Amino acid sequence: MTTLSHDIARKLHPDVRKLWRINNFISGLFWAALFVGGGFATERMLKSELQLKFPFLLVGLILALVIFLLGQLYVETGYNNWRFGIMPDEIRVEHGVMWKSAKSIPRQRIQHIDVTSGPWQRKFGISELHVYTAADHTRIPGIPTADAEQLRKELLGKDEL
Amino acid sequence: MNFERRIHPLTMVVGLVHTIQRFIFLIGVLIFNRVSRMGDPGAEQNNVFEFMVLGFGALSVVGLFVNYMVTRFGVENNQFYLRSGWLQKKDRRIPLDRIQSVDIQRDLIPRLLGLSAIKIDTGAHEHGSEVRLQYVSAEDADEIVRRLSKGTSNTTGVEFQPPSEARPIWKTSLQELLTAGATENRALVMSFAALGFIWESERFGIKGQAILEKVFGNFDPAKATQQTWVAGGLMAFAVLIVGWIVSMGSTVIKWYGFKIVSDQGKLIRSFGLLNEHRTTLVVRRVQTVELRSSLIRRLIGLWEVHVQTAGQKLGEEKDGEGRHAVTGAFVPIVDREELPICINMLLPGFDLARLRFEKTSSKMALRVAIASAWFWLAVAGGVVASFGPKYAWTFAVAILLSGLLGFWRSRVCSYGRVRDVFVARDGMSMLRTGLIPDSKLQSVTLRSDPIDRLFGLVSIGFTTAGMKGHVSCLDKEKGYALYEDLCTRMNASGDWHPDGV
Repeated sequence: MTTLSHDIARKLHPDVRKLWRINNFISGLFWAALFVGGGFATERMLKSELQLKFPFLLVGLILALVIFLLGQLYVETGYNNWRFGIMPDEIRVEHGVMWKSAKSIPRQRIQHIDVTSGPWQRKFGISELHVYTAADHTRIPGIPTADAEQLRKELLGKDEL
Repeated sequence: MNFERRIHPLTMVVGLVHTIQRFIFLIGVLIFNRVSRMGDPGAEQNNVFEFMVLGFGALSVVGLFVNYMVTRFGVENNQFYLRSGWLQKKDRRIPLDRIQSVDIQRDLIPRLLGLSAIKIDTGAHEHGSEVRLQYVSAEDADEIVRRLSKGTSNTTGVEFQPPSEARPIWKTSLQELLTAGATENRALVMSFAALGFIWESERFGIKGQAILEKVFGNFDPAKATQQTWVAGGLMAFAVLIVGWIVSMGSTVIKWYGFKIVSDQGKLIRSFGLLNEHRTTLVVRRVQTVELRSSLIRRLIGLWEVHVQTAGQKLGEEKDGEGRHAVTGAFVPIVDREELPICINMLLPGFDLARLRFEKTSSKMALRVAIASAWFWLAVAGGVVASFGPKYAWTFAVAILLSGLLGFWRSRVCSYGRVRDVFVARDGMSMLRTGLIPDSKLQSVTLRSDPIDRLFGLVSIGFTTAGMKGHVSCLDKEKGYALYEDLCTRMNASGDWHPDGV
């Protein structure tokens, strides 16, 4: 699903994938701890008591691995599907793997723009652009820090400069 | 124009009453405990809780006095200010031209003391959009609203006409309110509340559970006489009647004397028998208008009209979909015939007669049926797991129910347009029709999930500063065309000023 032509569509910085992988790795660790820990605890506490033969620990390990691998796959597909376009009247943002969306925000409706970057983002030299309207806010991740500042000025018009 | 005032000294009395109200249950328990220990010389004398409550009460009184002493408000250089706080000082300033609306609220206790609360809404996106000034005398409240309204409408120098003197453009009669109340019934809620109270009544020394056991415990439908059935039926009928009376009574008490007057681009509505409300709404700040009607009300052609503004807490209701409605319904009951006039008050120039709805995709029924089937199949699965395989027919019922729900929703869900106002209709038992001016749209989104893509469908989501809405299940080509159309109209509609400057 795309409403952006190739000459207008801009991609995110490729390094954003590294950032997403790190995030994915951290959340993967959490899920792994949950599943493996849960499996281990079930093995120790219930298996002997209830005479169960189900390999809880093994299933926990497999689940953690599947989630991690799916996450990695999601990073690539998510990156390929992420694109945005700055047009004379509007900003268009398209993303999503399972739930795809294309959003249009008129430039005249923009209330303010935030540029943020966390420690990992700074390490890769990328920032995140947050576009606020009176109704909601839209996030564009993975923009090179220098470009993000330029983009902010471009979107807010000459008055802001 | 500049002035500075203090809140009314009787605010302390109202604050004290509210504090007592808040802890009424705890106070009641302590009094009950004290009374039950009287005349029992063996009872242990432990007054710690009483002292704690008294200490807290004394602290509250000091806090109320300090609040009265340090709170100042007024207007200075075209800005409204409110200074409050002692340890943590707070100075809030609102430019007069950023004020979205000014409400006067007179609840029962302040009203008995001749006081009013003023709510000033700024329409900020996040928290803290509302300044609540409580309390000032009723006369002062009118005067303050008059001064603030000048700034709100940018019509400096034009005298404000008190609403009571202006000619109402909309009035709701007592008969209409009774009809509105009669379309609801509180019997079910009341019955559950009564059963809950009886169940928990042992705590208060009443043998409620024993009474329930005596009435219902030995009930055997096979042995019940005709008299028992008649008595049961009459009792159920009586509960229904009481439910209707309560519903009609509460509707009348809430909306009594409902009227709207128009004043230089503002609508001022007032209502309430015990708690008086007065809302000032600047018409050009209306973001969306929503018409709602329940299944029963639709049968007799009655509607509620809701209004959403950019104000975060303009009214007292904010529903799960992020709508910021003005104190529930803006107009509690409107006859179908009068609906065009009512909408015209809020969206001048909107011609309801020209509205033609366009249906969504013919595949919507199947799409919605699939989306809801998992829930009903899970319920059926639960029934079979609990009561055995002889109830397997519930799976067929689940599929039938999902299909019916899908068919019903597909018949209702539609969209249309009248000049520069987009209209979206959705809902099943509660039908909601949103009227969204293009100039108030903030963003438009085209969405699809894997099941949508399987059927070649997309959905359109849209936001205004007052609400979020969507049109589901459009055929792909139709959806793309509507998306592009809405984007073009939204972009072409010019600037949107959140503060209505």
